[in-house]
Amino acid sequence: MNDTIICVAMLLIYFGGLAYCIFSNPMPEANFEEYAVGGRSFGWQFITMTIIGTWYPGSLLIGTAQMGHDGGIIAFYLGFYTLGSLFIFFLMSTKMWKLGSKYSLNTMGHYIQLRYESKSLRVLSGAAALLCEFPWVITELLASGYAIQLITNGKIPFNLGMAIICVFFLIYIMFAGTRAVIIADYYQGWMFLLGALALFVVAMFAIWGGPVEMFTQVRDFNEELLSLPGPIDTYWGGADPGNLYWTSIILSGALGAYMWPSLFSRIFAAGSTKELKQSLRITPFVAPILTVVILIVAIGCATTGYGLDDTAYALVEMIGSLGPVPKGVVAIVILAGSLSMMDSMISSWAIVFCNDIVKPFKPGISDKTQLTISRLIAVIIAFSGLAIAMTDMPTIVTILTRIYQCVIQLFPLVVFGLYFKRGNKAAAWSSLIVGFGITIVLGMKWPDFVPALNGMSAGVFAFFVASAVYIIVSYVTKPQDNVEKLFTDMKTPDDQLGKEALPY
Amino acid sequence: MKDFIRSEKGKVCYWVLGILAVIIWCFVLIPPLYSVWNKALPLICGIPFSVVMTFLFMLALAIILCLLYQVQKIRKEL
Repeated sequence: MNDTIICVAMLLIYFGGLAYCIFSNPMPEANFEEYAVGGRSFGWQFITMTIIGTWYPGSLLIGTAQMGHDGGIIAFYLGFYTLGSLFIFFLMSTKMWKLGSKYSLNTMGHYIQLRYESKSLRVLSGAAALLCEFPWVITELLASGYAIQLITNGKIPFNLGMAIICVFFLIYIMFAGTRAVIIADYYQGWMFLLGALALFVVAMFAIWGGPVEMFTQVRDFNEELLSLPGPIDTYWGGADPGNLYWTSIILSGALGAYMWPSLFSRIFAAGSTKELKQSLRITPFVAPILTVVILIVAIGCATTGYGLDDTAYALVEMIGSLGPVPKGVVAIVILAGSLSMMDSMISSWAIVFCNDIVKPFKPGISDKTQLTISRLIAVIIAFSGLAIAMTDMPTIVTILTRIYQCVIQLFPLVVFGLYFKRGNKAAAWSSLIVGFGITIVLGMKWPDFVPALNGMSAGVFAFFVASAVYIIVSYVTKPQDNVEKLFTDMKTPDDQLGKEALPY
Repeated sequence: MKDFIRSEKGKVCYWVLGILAVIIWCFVLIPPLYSVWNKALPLICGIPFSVVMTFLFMLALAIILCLLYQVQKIRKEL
């Protein structure tokens, strides 16, 4: 049978299964809360797989794999920052869920207005989070376009592939919002996890005969791939970035992860705090296993000579060379990762835009109008991403490491606000202005790392300064009156929380 | 064991797990400490030292997270 027919058949089975799961689960009621947080009804299995699905993008096999191929073990920062972010999730999720449940919060901006009693802070943080997260959708569209081109052997060109994927996920976002996204992510999370693990273990044995033989070849090829910061001459252009670069990229990822609207909204979708934290039975173990398995094969790939035109595609080309079935599986893994990330992001952004940017100015807006606006915004954002993705872009990892530097400036507002009673509106504004200000000023000159700071990134440096500013300003200004009640709510058991409507 | 974790003294579990996590994070993030494992040799069962240590650190952090959840669950703090 023709290779293309096998690959396309695999693709159709994948999309058929996905469509069945989504369209057999419509929204029980067409209201905004159901659309935004799936009625706060999802069990731990769904929360776990959506975290995995949203966390591991399709670009992992292209952008991060390129980092492993060219830079070696520095790409393992992904596993550490995943674990770091799970520690932060452990610390903040219960408190945040309780506030979300009691006050019917839908987004991070909503929480910020509740905590700091500032409408403008809600609008600004919502807009900043959207702007920071937007490049992700472009990278994922690029990855999915590449996967479609690969699986059809070029019969469907890159741009058309991106457009097909874009229309597909928009249809199901329109259909059931967060409910559809969570169900789709559950299906795709499993596809990604099992597909990637099976594929890369098989590839390691099929290509090198096992991990020992693979690492022997890597050491013979370039031993610098097996230590930090990686090959100085080839990867770093002859200049060592400095010791704090590794520290910075892990800190940026760990602190920034739950500041993304798409991941933050998952906290509010859980049925209870217990359901929310039960995901910690599985997610922490996925990080070391999946990261190490995929990235050691990416590092080994450096010895094979694939990716001569562009090392970003070396890993996928190598797997594709094993035959039509591995090629089909790798393309489906990329699509599963990309789709589960893009659908989460676009649906969350549409909800954030409606909830944090439109609603503060039109508080009397009806549920039905919010639903319509969210759907419309999802279409606008998705097609804007598609239009940008069709132009020439810098490499995927370059985009991602830079935007993380901006989003971590929201961390003091969100997390300190849960633990530090004295934190107030003035502190929140000051830390946000200082954080973004320093990141933008230093980041313009040194977008990846600041040599004078021993390789620390502008964003991480700005974060430390902004955190200090938050604490100092909190102490020199008056505490807020509403805080005591919120801190009591955060300690109340789930079944005694009750509901309280907010006027905004 | 469960009775101890449920008791008032059981809060010490959070401290023990927290301190272990901080020590591991120091080895991952602080340059003089990560230079201890940041090298290709010696090989452990044919796998470079840095790769083995990275995996073990990640696994240890994952186990700590899982145990923290279990402690919260046993103490009925969820």
